Amino acid sequence: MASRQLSETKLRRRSMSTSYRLPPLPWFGMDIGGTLTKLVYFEPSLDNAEEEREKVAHIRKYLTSNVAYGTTGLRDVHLEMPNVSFLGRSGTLHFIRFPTCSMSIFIDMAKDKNLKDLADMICATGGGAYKFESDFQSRLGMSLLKLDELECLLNGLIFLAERHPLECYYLPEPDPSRSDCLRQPYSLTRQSDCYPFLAVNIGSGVSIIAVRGPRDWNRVSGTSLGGGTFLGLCCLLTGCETFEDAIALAERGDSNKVDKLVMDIYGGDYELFGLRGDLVASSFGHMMSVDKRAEAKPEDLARATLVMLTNNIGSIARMCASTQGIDRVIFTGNFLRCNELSVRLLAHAMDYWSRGSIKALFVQHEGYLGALGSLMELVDPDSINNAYFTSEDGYKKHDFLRLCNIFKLLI
Amino acid sequence: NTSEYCSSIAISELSADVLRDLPTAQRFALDIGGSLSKIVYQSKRKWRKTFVVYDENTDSHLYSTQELEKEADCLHFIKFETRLLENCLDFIYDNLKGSDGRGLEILRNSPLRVTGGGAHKYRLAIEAKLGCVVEKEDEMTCLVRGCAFMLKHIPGELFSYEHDSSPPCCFADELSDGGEPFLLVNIGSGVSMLKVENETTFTRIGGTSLGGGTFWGLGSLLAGTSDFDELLEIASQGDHRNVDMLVGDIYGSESASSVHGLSADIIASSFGKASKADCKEFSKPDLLRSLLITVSNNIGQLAFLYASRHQLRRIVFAGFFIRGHLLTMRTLTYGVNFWSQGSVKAYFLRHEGYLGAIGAFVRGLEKDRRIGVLTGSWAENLCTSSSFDVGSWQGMAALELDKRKELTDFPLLRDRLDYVPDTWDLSQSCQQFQAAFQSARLNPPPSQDLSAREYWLNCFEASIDRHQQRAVLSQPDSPSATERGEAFRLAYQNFFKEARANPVAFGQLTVRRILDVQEHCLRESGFPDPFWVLKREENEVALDGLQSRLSHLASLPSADLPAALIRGLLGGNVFDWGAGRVAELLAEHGKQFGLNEAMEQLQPRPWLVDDLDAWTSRLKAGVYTCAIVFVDNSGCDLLLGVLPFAIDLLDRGVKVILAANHGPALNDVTIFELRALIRRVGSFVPRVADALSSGRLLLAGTGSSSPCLDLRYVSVEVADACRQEQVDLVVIEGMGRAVHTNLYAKFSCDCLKLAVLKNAWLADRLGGNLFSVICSFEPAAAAAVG
Repeated sequence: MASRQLSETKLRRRSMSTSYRLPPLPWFGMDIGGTLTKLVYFEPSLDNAEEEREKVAHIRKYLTSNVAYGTTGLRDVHLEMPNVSFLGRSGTLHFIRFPTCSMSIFIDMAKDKNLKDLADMICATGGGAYKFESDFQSRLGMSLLKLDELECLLNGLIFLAERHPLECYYLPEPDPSRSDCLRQPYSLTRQSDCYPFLAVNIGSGVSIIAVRGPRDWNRVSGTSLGGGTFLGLCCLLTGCETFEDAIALAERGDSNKVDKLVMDIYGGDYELFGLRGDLVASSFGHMMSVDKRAEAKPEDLARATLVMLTNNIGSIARMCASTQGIDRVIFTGNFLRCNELSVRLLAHAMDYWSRGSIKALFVQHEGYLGALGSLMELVDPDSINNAYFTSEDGYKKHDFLRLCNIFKLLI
Repeated sequence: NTSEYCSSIAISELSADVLRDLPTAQRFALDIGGSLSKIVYQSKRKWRKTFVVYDENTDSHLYSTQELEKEADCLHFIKFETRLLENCLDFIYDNLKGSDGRGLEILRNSPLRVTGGGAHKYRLAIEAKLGCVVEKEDEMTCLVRGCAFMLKHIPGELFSYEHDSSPPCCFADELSDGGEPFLLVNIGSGVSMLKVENETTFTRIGGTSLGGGTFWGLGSLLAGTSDFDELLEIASQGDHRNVDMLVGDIYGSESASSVHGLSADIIASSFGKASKADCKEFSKPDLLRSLLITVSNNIGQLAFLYASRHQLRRIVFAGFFIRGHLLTMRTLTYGVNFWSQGSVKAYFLRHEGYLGAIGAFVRGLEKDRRIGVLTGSWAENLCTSSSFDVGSWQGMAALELDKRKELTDFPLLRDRLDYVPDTWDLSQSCQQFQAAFQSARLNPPPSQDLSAREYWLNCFEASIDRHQQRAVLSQPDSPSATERGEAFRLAYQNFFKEARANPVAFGQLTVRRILDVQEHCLRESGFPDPFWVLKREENEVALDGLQSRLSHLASLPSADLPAALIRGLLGGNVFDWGAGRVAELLAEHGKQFGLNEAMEQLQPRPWLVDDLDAWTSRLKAGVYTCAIVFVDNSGCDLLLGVLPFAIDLLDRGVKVILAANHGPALNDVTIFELRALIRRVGSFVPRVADALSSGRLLLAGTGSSSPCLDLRYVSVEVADACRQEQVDLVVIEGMGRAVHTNLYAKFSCDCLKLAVLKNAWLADRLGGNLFSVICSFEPAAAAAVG
């Protein structure tokens, strides 16, 4: 249904795309998640710099000359993408994140930098776009254009995959115990017959989306056992304070001190069902024993938590993929940020349990796809939801959206 | 000690009261778990049983009755803490050794089958203590066998968790016929998902390491205590919303529901609030509750995913993790419902803890080629088995199954899977019966008929004295009768106490169940047939009146005969000592109260349900080949009501099968009494003697010993006779068989249901008065359409 609707709207859009005006700078998109807020900022390159109004300059300077903002904001410099072009302008994409619980500080900062003078609307996605809408309105006088988070995620994913050759990768020989697994680029473009695939976004929770074509997707499943569960449990069990600490602990730990393996129960393989002895039979299954609890180090507990959650997500994803008849699963979301171990575990689990029939794919900008998707809503004329796209009759975006929605209903 | 769940045996309690009949035990199987072990064994129980002796040459009485001790097979299930295993083995050894050591010899004849995680660990200890060979049995295989065994033999073994019902469980029998494959999810330390096709064929299609061990292990880490039941107890006091990140926390509670139509309470991220960034202190109850929900939700979701991938519509959850814990069952059910949107249903098992043990027992019999030991049907002994309490973690502590005749489905039920024997579910809401009532042309009872439960519990409890007296009087020569009468009272009273506190203590609470408990308590106290004297008296009085009744009927114009026979049958049905009001009338008027007096009590026509004309014209059409009549009371009912009706059918060329209970129940006639009575009748009614000798009149035992009739469990004898004789008319008479049960049973042939409502409350509920009449004729064709 969605693809049918797309072709209609495409025609409609093309006939109307003559009168397009550029949105005012700065261009950024936001994804306000349960734990992290992600911000993607487009910095126009120098040759266009003279066009920038002066007041934009200090924001640009602030955002691009720092890697840390306040006490909690961070710019992921390694993800920075130069030479990206939007609407005929080329520039650099910057990727910034801060904890959603610091949203209030962010709003103060934006007020301080007079963001309101530059734009009266911000494109935002994620649940926080709803939750903080009234704060943006009352404290900044800005409205949020709330965008569907899964659609943003998919738009961001395809955008990156097409422009960044190394964006998408897989592990040809996944081995959870080897930290030097080879990463092989994987070509995922609209031209490369990339559909269908399953997108598994691991944020605080997990969303699983079956994608069959551009805008032809549906959320097929999800689980509340996600990145938030990992961090929450690790904080409780080890006293660590940050995701990075938790991952660092997990990398050093040994989950076999915590988990009960098949061989711990059956003395070896469970032959009747072909279960190998070294498989985990019960996560944390040793921890009811006082002695084993005393032996388990924080590293071991962190590792067991990571292994348990990663395998569980892998298992649900694999079930969904085979139920949907899909053989490619793309894992995204900030849980995989600097989390090599989970990448290896997921790649291995998908390969092992599907007997090689399902391939696990990963992306470099794992956590920023939604924010990027929301930026694209602002600047990409390919987007039907484009905020500044006006029709010949002078319809503003909202009128057009309303038309689209009515149109959807009719189909 | 919070380990109430198992009510397991403490060392001091390890006695002959707990491990009953041990000296006669024949076969054992063990399921050794991490904390709990279960043992199942088969023994020979001695029962007092009534035998009817018919002597044509005696004048003093129609027949005489003897009570003798008889042996019968019994399966015992006991659970105890694994740490007491060796004490238990010692106790078993001592008892088996007995005086001659024969018990031990029998035990050593075949290997002892052991399953469960501890099978390996305790193998040598068991072999050393008992001197027998131990054979390990695979856990999953035992589980599947055990599940099949329980589903086959125990009605209402399966139940679903219904949050909006009180108590929150709803009994079902959907899987007992073994038709459709289902998903069996065993939640032990880890989780295994088994696709079960039938009792021996299954495949492990998946699993997860997030299981009971994860709750236990992580819970121990979070709470600092390793007692599983304590962890559950702590979890039940918490609020997960303080620990989990909800949809409302991310979206803001208003937009979550208004924009997305999502409940703000849906968990977006388990433990999502527990990261240090929130700088909060978390309470143990909140953390454990969140953990319990995390684990059970996840299992529920995975179970749904596996079920839908394999096109299975039913999921049965088993394993130590559940332990009848309400929150666990609720979350598992929620997970399955949420993800399947109701297309897949979650079930639990009442005797879940014993699946492994009975499975190992069955496997042992299979391997020793002794599976014949299990032939027949096994029924819960409601007097000696512990009660079931959904939600209090008080699982079944003791279970005893008594061997009965082999029972099977009544072949003339229109739809076996649609058949619900009981008219009232006294344990909960009656909504499911509303439509059925309307189809039986009666006013449906109020949907949440709590007063019905109160009424029937009070009604039957008030009759304890009467039954105790009668029981003691039935054994005038026994010095222990008074003492055993007291034991009966205590046991039966205890049932009422438990049923009031917990209506599902013995499965679904129904009038039938209450009557079954009464019979079981009497039998257990050594009173196999308290009514035998009374029944004989009434039979003798009625027999004296038979000739004149037959003459009177013979004098009627043939057009009036069918109506007169029905009126006679209904009049006879008034003689019911189970009904308090009738018992009073009979006691008051004695022998003055005869069939004619009884017929005068009947409601004038039109009756509450009055199909007399339809029945009469159908009968006259002469279409029937063979009728089966399920008879009710002794005396006037059988001899002056049913028998003339049956003789008339025979006269019309219709074969007749009279079906009576095998075992005694109230003043209902038993097959043994029936045989004696019909032979006596034959001595002065040649038509009856002829019909009997020519095989046109057949007498069959139903296999039941209940005043009610559960047509899922009738004797093979009855089922075979129905097929062989091509029965095309089913006649069910009496309140127990046609009102409390089978009121809306549908048959594949014509059916005539006849009953007099001898209870004012019941009559009122059905829209009538005391002595209102139900004469419901349900032609097969109509039944097939409606």
